[in-house]
Amino acid sequence: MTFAESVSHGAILLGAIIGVVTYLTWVERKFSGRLQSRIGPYLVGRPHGWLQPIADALKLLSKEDITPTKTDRFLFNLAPIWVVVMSLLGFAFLPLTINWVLVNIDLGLLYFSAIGSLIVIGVFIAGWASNNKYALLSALRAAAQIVAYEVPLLLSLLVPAVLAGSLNFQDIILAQEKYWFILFPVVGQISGITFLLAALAEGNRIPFDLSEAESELVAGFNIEYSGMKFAYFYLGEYAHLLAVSILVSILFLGGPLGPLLSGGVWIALKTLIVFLIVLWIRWSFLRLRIDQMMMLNWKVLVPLTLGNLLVAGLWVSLSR
Amino acid sequence: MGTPVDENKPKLGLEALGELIRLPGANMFLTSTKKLFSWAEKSSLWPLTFGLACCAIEMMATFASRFDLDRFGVVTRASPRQSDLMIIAGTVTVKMAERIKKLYDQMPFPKWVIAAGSCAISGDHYRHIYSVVPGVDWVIPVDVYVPGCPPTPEAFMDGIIQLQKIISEGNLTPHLNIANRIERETTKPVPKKLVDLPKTGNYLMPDQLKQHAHNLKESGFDYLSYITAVDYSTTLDLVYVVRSFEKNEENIWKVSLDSSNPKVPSLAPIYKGADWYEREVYDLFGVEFIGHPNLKRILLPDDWEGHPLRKDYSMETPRLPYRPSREEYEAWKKG
Repeated sequence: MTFAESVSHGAILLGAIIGVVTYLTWVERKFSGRLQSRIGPYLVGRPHGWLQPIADALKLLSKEDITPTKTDRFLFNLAPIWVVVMSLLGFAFLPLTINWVLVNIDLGLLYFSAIGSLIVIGVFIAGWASNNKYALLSALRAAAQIVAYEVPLLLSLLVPAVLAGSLNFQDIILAQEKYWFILFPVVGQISGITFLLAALAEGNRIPFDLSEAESELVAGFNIEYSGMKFAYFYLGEYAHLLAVSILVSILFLGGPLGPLLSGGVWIALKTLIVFLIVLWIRWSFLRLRIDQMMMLNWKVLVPLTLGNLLVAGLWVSLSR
Repeated sequence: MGTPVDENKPKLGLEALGELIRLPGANMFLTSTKKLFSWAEKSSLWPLTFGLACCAIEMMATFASRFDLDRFGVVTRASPRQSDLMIIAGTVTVKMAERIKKLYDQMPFPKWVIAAGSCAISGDHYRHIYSVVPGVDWVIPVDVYVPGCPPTPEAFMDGIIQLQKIISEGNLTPHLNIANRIERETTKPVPKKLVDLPKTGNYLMPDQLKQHAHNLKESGFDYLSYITAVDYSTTLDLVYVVRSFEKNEENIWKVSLDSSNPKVPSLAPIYKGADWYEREVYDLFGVEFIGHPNLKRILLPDDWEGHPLRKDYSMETPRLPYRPSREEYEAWKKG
């Protein structure tokens, strides 16, 4: 691609992602409403509150922008931007059809996970710069949690890479033409489920949303942020969740592969299903305690994913 | 947005920008922009997760499945920085009033307040109590009053709809109580009345107290149910109730103290639970517990004067919460 093409494609992708992410909040509210036998957004834009995300965004745009006096101004304003940029950068490496990918490099998987784990720096900056005890505690928790869950996350990510014999997303997709990796006996299921769990922990979602635990930390690391800065955090969180959902559908569900319909439709469907599973978990389960969460990570997920990777490696080397 | 328009003041809103641009259609565009934003504000009211008393339970029911405020786009936020609306649901005490003021100040403009329930509106039947604020509009300006005790979920929803109407019409007239006359001047000090209530029960001398409690604890009465006090004008009697779960028995004893200078040894070293009860009795009756590890007020603010459950407590100078002066109110109204 030429430079101009890259820029225009990037701009289109960015707009599309922000639009989709905005409406994912609506999906979440409707879905949680149905789970709790409510209706969810309804009156703002008939039918079914389809203007709700627009109203939320416009309202956040028009709110007073508060920077409390005792904060570190530079870092306080940097944190939301950092979170959004790092969340959106990951999309550049994700193929949305077999051929359409913004940056096609051999180490796509590695780049994606490297950039995804940089989000925590923004979260920590936010907690530190806010000069608020709840924000700081939440940031410490988030840092501990994400650093810990990075290990099983990468170990379970490596299984599809080992099975496909490549870190390039396109090669991984093409390797799933016969069967999806989630259907690979035992190994595929274990790595798929552990990846989803670790991704939930990295994205601060229930049951691992300890850094936003409302009963303990009021609102978590973003407690001092109002208006548009808060919206940036929200955008970053949902964009990351969307990226993780796309990643699951690419690595384990065959991504754009599927009969009859075109690749883009298939990947959208699979992503939506993964996203709804994440929401389903969120609105059905309770929050773990911090020691339970750490125990789950170090005593269960890390040995499991390590053994799983070993089995996958043995399988690949023996079947050659 | 957020404040009523004052003709004498230089306009700083979108109208001023329109006059500045002086392009044909600029004002029309800006007016419709303003309409758009006020639509967004009324469609996405995020209240603070905040409840004070029984009205809050009704408010929670309003958020839950049968009534579902999310239909209006109303979802709660835990941080005041991210919320637009404060629903005062419950009795506002003097101690809480300071917190309410602080939380209100932390919310970003434009912000709204709904006073839900008769206690939040006027104090209702608690309004003459020493620790209750007679209506939250003594502390922060209120946009919508929702009557009821507590208001039904339908009333809550009506309050939200009324607030949405106020926002879309743009004529905000939030109400702050600026009455000069304090209505509490009707509350007079309670006249001293000597009453001869029958005194029955197991009375101990104050110096026997510790030994008695120690013996009872040794013999299996390991749970202190409560300590309370009765003011008989001349004497002030403490009532101790301990319980044994093994024997399923209760043991009650009393100590009679001089009302003018009540002093008694603390039971906190023997019963851990005595810590809070003794602080409560100290707070409301002024009994000094000698040897208590941390004898300070527990329910009332630290700088409170007097002990309100005593018969000689005077209501002549009631403690009022933060209340803006007329000048402050006018300044606030102008924005």
